[in-house]
Amino acid sequence: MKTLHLKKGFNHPLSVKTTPGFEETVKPEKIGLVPSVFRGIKPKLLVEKNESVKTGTPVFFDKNNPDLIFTSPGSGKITDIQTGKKRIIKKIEILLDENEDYEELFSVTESNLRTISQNDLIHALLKNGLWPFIRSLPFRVIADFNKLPDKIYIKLSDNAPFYPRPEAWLKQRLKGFYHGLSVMKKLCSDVIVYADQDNHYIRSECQNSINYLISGKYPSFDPGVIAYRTNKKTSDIWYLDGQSIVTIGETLLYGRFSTKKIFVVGGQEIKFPYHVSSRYGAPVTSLLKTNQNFINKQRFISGDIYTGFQTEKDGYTGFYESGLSVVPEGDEKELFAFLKLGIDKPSFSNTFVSKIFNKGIKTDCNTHGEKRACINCGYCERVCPVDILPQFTMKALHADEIDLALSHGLLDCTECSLCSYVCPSKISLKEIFTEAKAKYLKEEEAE
Amino acid sequence: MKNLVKKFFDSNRKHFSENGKLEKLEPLFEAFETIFFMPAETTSGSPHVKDSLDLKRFMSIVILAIVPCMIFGIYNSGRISLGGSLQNPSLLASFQEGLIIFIPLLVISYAVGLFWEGVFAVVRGHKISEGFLVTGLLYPLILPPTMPWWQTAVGISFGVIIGKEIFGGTGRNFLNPALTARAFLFFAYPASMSGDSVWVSNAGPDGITGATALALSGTAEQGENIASVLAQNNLDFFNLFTGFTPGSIGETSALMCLIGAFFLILTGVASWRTMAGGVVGILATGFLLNFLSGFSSNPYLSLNPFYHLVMGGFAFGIVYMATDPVSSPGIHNARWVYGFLIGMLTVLIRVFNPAYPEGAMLAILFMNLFAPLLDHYAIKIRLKKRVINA
Repeated sequence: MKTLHLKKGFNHPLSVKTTPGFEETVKPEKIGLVPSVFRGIKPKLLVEKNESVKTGTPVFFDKNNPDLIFTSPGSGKITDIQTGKKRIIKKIEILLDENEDYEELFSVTESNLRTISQNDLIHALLKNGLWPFIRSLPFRVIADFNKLPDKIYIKLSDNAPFYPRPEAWLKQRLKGFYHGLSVMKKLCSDVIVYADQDNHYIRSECQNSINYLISGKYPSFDPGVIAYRTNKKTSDIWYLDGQSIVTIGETLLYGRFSTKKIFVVGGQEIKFPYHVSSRYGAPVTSLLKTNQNFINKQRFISGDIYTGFQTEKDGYTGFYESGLSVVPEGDEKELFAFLKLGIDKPSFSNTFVSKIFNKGIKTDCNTHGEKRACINCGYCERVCPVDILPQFTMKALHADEIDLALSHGLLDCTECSLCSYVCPSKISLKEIFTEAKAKYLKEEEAE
Repeated sequence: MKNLVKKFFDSNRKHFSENGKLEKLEPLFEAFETIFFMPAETTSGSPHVKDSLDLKRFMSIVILAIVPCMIFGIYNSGRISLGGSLQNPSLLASFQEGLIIFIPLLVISYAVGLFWEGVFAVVRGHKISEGFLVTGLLYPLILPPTMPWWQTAVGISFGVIIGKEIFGGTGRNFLNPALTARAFLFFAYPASMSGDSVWVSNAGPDGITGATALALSGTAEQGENIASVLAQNNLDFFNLFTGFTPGSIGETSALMCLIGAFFLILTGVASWRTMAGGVVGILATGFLLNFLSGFSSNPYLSLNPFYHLVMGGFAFGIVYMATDPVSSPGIHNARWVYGFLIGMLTVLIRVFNPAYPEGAMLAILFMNLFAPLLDHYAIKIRLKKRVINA
């Protein structure tokens, strides 16, 4: 067990140190699928509106890769399929049945695992709809099952606001966890598990499985950051989070899709973040407390405030996202904002007194300024966890110098969004990098 | 109050929006409105939150750091023009006289500069950047108190247009605009920018010479000790450090620059590496010349290097001009080299080129040109450590 401390990065004041509590489970009536969270796939439907599905029934597949199927995380009737421009599927709603009806899936028990071939195991994961859990670096797309990786990284903790703690999703599910871990070890001999150094629960519970204990600021728990620091090479790596490992393990053990998912809910107007036990595809409303009232207009973000995606109050959570961040929109004009001392203004820089008295800090989704040209101030470089020079890389991409950008480490970009966060010129650096990476991947695939 | 201002902007917006009578002047309206109001714009997609720091805040911090120099500069230029230590004018009289000198120059600087900013913003359809707010304040502070107003206007026009706007505006310029403006005046109207008479606005009957420390040092005879020559002219080290000396309006006091530097470093807005590099550069070169002084008859060589830190515009230049992020290198190591070379060139120009008594301005502009090259090599060195994933 090694320790790894990461100096660079930024802890947003929204991520309070208090341990999130637990809330009663509210059983959702409906669940929803959001195919747009699966990057780089072309979803094609296998079901129609008003059709009934079981838990584990394939709902859509990737047109470019028909073996890659996505299954329903619940049983019920499909009540709505919303499509957007170019017939992109925006969301699929399923009204849940009273009693769960499971599709019979491939089971791979502990004894089977010893004898099963790698190919059969991959086949089982694909058929069970578990493959999408496995993603790969550097493009963060669903892993290519035709090419096994050098390493698999498994994250048990994260310090992004907000992310569930291991004691919430691991308690009483250790059997599934270890089985899932064995499955990964079957796929790749080099499985690296890492967790929070300060989390005593995980340290005592999984002592023998953990390879790295991590400390430091966000995004120190990102697999891309760990790979960059420990491995230098950030390609041919697969990554998953611990909760997915539990789901994979339990699904394979019992031959039915394990629907349980733990979320953590937090935000500016949610005084104490809390865990809530729900299921894959949970609607946003089912995660909120019934007595929770918001003063301002809120934005509901599935995932953390940096990398999550915007959903609605009547929307659904993503497949990978296990956090729900509720942040005020902040779409109001502010008088003489740049002259204020800024006791309540969060900032990476030292230009507000909030750096000294960080009490009552207010977070919202306002851009806090207008877009300007880059002035080479270098805040992005100071915060970048993988030592990219974002301001120069951005200019290289602006001039279409993709090779230069690659030599700067474009593909190491962890998409943590901190560069976009800190930029005083409000340049969307992360967006520029993500788009450039996607374009590069497309060109690579075309070759 | 808030609602009143809001009403004013809301009721006038229609003239500047699409198809309005003044549609073309939209950047001006926008620039004016955003001085009062942070726009209601919100993020779209990841990241959902953004830092509270924006360019307005960034530039306000720089302006705040300049304020000590400005206040002292107003007092000092007024005091000198009222006779300096010979007459010992009162604080109030000095300020009054100083304001009479400074305010017109400041107004001209902002009015003419913002006019050009506005013209370019309207013609090119971009927004007015906050960078000029700093340039417009720095510029009058590096002028002699007697600067003719029309020359002031021509200078800032040159600085804004040639130094910045023709390259695309703030962020795309490679020279510091305020220094570009001053350099233009220095070469175009040398009579207004150098000599002993320009530093005192109404030389009284007492025949106060306004000779600056740099001029005295540059013209010292063989065998003279510069420090004692300076002391005879009331320019001992303490006076030079505190700034009760003739010179450009805002740059005489190294002490005030030090206060500004402290604030800039504390807020992290300016690079301490550039400043430290500059000081090291001055001292290293100064001591090297001390060491070589036996081989030359130039008394400047044996001057205690610490004098170079407090004389002329070096302190002001290294704190406020050299650290301009746009025209200085972006990589930490390159900033050290950049600062060091500014210090070195400042001393070399002062000592070996009597035609240009002030070396700091030219040194900074010269190194501005080299900033991209320094970055280029600093990046190359950094990338050597990197494993490329492609």
